[in-house]
Amino acid sequence: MDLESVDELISWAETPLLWVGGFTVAFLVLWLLYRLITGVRIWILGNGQLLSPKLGKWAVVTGATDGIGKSYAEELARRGFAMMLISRSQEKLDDVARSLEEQFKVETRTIAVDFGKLDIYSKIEEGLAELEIGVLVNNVGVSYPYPEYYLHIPDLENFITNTINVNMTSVCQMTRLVLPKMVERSKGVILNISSASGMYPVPLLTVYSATKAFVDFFSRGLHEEYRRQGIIIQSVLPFFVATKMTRIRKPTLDKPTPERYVAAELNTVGLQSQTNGYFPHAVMGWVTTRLVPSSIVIFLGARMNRLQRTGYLRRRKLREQKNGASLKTE
Amino acid sequence: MHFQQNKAVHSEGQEMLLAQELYLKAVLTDTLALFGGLTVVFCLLKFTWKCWCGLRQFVLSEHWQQDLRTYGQWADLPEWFLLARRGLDVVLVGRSDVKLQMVAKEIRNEYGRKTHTIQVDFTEGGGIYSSIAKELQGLQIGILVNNVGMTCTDHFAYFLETPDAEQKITQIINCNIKQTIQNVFYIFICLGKGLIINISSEAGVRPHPLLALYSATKIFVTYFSQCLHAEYKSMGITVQCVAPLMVSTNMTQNMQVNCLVKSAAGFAYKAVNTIGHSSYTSGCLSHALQSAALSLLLPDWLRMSTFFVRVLRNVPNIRTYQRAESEEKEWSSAKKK
Repeated sequence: MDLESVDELISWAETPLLWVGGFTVAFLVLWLLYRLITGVRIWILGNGQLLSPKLGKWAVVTGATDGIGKSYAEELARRGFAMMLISRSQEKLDDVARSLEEQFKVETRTIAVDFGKLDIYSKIEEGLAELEIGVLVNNVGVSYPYPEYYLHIPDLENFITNTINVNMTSVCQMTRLVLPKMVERSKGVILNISSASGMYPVPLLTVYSATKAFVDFFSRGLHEEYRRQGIIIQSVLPFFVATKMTRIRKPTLDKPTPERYVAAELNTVGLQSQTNGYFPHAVMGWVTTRLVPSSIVIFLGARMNRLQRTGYLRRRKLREQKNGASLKTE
Repeated sequence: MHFQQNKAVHSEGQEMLLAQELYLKAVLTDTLALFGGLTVVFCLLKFTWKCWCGLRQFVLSEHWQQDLRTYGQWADLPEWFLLARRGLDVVLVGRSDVKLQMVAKEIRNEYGRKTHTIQVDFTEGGGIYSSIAKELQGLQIGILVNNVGMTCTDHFAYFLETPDAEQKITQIINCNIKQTIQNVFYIFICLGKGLIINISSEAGVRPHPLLALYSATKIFVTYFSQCLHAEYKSMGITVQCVAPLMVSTNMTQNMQVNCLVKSAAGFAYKAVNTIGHSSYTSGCLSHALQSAALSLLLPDWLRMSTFFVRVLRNVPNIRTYQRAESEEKEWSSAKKK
């Protein structure tokens, strides 16, 4: 091909390419502007006084004795809701209830049930019977003790049943119990705590990631069904938060304390039907879902979890050896 | 003279500005054109890659058929029997013993393969898995197809309209999810190779109002399959997720087969061809094209809009009308006889 015809080709193609380039740039600029405006609206202005006892006198929080659940209970009590706390240990529930009553002067009630079982919902239904529920936080959840290959998970059958019951069935059944009365009053907020591992498959946290994707999809589908009847159903997808479950002891900017996380997240209710809740998490969420192709995210997730798994198993072996040695000396 | 000099300098200055302007303009147009060129190249590459994947999965796979016997001798599947045609013996697992025996007999007569049947109700969950494990002992299972599934209602409905909701939620989770992940455990714990096919659905690609619970169970199956594939592909175990659109079966009230809706046998034939070529597939070319069209033509803002939700909610009326029409035709033709 001689230079002249190449030249001709390039000059012929130049004008349409110019238009394509121009349009793309204009589109990107408009998109950036749009993101800036919505970002300001969500992360700086917030939703004002949306979450107040005007929605309903009571707020129900499952898994309310530790971590994010406890912070939700405290924040909602601070806003004036009467609190119904549902969790497994009656002792811990009583502690949290007492501290809420002392600090925020709100009425509290508790129900102690094990969400790993399926026959608990009639007991919960009785406990919720006459309450006017404005907010439900489906927060209860269990995860892997450490990232592990699926077939090597210890006591796999019970692990599967327990994880599915606590992470998924609880969300569906609690929604079934609470939503009808909210629909009658045409107002109510349901927050379903999913996880960033529900945004893309995370190998070595297989069952956990899949259950969290379930919660995310269920919430988003349900939100569209009942949005027009005045109900807000939000799917919350945090990354790492410094709680007992994640075993993160030192909070940082991207691994906040649960209090900081919940305070930020509650401001997004009504503005986003699916949220990462906290601005640094929102940036991480955008990067891992929009910028990076999903196959790379899955590969990197697998690698990170494999390293964590090796580290955990090594530390456990060292601990066992130390214990073994100390027993011998005794 | 002074005036003329000034004019000369002035026009020189103007010329310089003009030249600078033209230079900037040229740089700008060149950059934009380059940017446009890169965008076009990138889009073309993406499109070509997708076409190649589709071609490999659906067209070339008919000629480059994988020898499924490399996976193992027996295939365990709740419903399909096409794997028998590819040279494998078949274990059938399902709810109705009568139907299981019928299908087993067909496989034995038509393809001459050995069969074994296990009767369970997957909506029960719990103890059924140990009994399945016992029956599968001694069989060298190579392929597992997790296909059992159910929906909440037979039409699009709001979540609170689900009849007998407490039971239904447990049943659908047991049926669509637990059976998928528990079967895997019992069958592949000893083998160093194998193939697992998990049947998800197009409904599991994006959340669907009026199918909230069903689409949530299907995204679970999709994520579970993709995670397992990433964990075990280096150990010789392939996990494939198949996400069909409409297939005419009992669950979809045996809809009429056309170019969009596939018959069960036709779909299974195409889907089995994709084994080894893709770990996440729509199963057949028609469904893959429909899926691409849906993601293009039915973006989130439209799919989740009030208008669309209302249209979906009224779909059962259309179907009952069609059914009533066909019943009337049958009755009038019977009358004529």
